[in-house]
Amino acid sequence: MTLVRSRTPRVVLRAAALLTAAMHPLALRAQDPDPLARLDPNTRFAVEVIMDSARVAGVPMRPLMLKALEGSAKHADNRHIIAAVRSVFHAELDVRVALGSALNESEWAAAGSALQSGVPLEALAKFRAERAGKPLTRALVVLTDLIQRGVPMPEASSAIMQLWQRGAGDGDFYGLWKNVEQDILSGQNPGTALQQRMREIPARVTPPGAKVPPASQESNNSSS
Amino acid sequence: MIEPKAAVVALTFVVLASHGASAQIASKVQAGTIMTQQDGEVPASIFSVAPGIRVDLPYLALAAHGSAWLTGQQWQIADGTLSGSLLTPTVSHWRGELIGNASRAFFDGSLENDQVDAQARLHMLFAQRGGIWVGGGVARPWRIAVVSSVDVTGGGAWTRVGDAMLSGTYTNFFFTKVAATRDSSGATQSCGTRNEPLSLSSGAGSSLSSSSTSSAATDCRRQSRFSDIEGSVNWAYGWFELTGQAGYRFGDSYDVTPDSRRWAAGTAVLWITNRVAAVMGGGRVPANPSRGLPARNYANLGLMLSYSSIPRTTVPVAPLTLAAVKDFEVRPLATGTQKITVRVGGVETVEVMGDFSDWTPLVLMRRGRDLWDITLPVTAGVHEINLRLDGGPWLAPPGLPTRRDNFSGDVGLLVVP
Repeated sequence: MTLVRSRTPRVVLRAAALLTAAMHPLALRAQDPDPLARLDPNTRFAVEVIMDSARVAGVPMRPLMLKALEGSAKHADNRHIIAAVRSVFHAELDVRVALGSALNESEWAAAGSALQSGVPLEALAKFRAERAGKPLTRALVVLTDLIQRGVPMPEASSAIMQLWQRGAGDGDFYGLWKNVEQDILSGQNPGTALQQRMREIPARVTPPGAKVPPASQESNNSSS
Repeated sequence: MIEPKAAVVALTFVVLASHGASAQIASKVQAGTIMTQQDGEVPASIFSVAPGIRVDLPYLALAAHGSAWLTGQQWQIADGTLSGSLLTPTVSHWRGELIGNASRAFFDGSLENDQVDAQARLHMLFAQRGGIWVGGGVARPWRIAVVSSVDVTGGGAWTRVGDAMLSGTYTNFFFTKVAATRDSSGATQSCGTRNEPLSLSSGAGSSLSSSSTSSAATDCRRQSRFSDIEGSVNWAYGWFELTGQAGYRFGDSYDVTPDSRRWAAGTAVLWITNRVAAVMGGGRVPANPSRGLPARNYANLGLMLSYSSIPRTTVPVAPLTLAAVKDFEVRPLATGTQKITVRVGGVETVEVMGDFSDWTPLVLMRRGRDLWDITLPVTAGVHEINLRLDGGPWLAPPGLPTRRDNFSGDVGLLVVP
């Protein structure tokens, strides 16, 4: 009787732990061994053909699968899903031409996003010439966003390249982006906002690798 | 027979234990003192515990709430209600709703009755700005001497003005009353006539009247009607919430007792933390003839422990946009995971999805009145992320750089160092 009483809480705890583990969002995700099964058979076939082409070409395949899953989750029609996957594949091929293959997963993603947002291949290729081991990701993420917000591509590309050449760190890129975003939301012309904010950045910028504040802190800092 | 004290303790425990089970469960427990006074009677002070729980699924909402009163030395379940609401998807601004309730009121041995009711409503929504609805239904009380059924029809409108929500309703009640010539206590009561309002010799103490009467040897049947018009305002600013309502009851003097002709009440809630609030209120509530509840004045003061404020109830508003999001934050935890926190009020579900979840929507857990979070293992690198409120469109979270998503929308670009 004593034994039973002493084991009961342990059993309950184990059951609770198992239940908690089973209910964890990522546990649910792990139960999906074939995520492409969410696509209809024809779309899946087309996506797998593109993924196979990516494998042969030596560019990442996972972003292609993710783009298909994103389209499925957003209830896009099959034609759009295939077109989007093909667009990502072509962007990857262009990224390899512009920056080479020695990129990490983040840089593939950031460079692909930049190209799909309208950054020309030539502008992207300039980063390769000046690279010398400097991280690309944040510069390209900010460039992508600025173009999307209406900053003329040559000005945005030139400004980001200038900062990058000066050894700007992650905090500088995010600070610039946040300030320009606020100015644009306040009604300022996007190109003008970028030019004015660029003038405020000192010649000696934050060293690369400086810690970037979380999103909520960025907004607080930018207002000061 | 369930011991009343045990029942309320059990419901309170369920409410407290429900925390963390799912983002779709909201619960609260309110405890405090109520001063109540019926006309002509001495004010009474009651200690009250009122637990409530609500489960929201995409098109189904279930709720249970009740209150237990400590009167003198005895605990009693004063009332308990189970509710269900079935909602259709919104199609071209229209949305249908079926509502069912089952409730029991029990007080002091002289008032004990049950009621089931069903209603159907048709809502027309104008984005987030407002909406109107019309509907009708029927209620069937049991174990109350004076009412056999109640037909209810009505409509309402609501709108948001700044931080305030204004609403107004107009409701018609059509009663069929049945009263035995002897009530449950054996006291004799009159069937009454057109000019002779029916008075109960025991029970709720409300004075009921008739517009048409037929009497038999053992009961009296009457039909009467009245209409309520009520306006309410709910205003929330930071940690402070204010709710007020006022109403007027239309009907001739045989159907509406003078003490229920007009009423007003207000409640102030001051959130001390995300989960604890001080509640203070008072006013007058009209009689509810279908439940045998008399009009009364009241004042209450108490504390509310809440895993969410039980939200907007019957107004199925259209999805909010990201303008409602006060804060979006991604912070690394020591375990190598990332904690995504969203601060947004007035919503019932918050979801995220992104490449880190293989674009599977993940429901955030409600951690307070307007705080939602989820902890995920997100690897270092650039991740695409979307946020959705109340099943609305997928949008880029505020405070992140964005890009087009190839599907006529935007995604946020989350860089995890």
